[in-house]
Amino acid sequence: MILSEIIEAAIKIFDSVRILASADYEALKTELQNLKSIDTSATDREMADTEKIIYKK
Amino acid sequence: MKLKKAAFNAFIGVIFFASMFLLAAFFSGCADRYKTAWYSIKTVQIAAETTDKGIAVSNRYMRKKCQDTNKDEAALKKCIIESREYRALKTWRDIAVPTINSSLMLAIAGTTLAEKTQKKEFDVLNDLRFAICAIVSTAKAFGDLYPANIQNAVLGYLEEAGKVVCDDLK
Repeated sequence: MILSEIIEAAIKIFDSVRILASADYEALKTELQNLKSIDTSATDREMADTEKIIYKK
Repeated sequence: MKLKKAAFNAFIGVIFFASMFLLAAFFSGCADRYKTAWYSIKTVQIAAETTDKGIAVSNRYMRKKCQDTNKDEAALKKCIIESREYRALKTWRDIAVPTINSSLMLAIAGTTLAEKTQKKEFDVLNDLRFAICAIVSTAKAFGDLYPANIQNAVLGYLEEAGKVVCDDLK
């Protein structure tokens, strides 16, 4: 699970770098203008799993 | 275990590559001030999302360690609640993430407006300041918990690219 998260993060960063490297300025701008919040899916999952243990009756 | 270590090393390599690239983009021929502003915003977004992954991974390790060493339910809860990793997770999500989101939205709106109106005087780093400082503060407080040297990579390019002073933000 941890390994898959690391690979997922690496792919995401590569993807971000690719956008910058391709100098696709408009794509970058559009992507940012459509941004609602940063991607917190890793801590979302982690928080849910941790709270399942903490608040277990 | 070796595979995990290799994956960490690869991950760190990617972070450094991204950092160097963004630094180069930041300081090189980015004559266009709007382009530079968008790159800066993207840099902060990547740094924030990398931090999120670092905190999640550290918490997962801690949780597994607590589960392996505590068979009793109450002891397990205590182990998790009292850990620095869980405190980092809570602080990150409750305080840092909302601050970063607000700051990013402000920077995006400000840059969009400046570009549309061709405004010459605008300071994207000032808009990004709270986001940068939230990431830097988190890395300073809990960075030692992230896998390997992620915190150094995050700190390195944010402080270099941002030149933002966070000390007076209390």
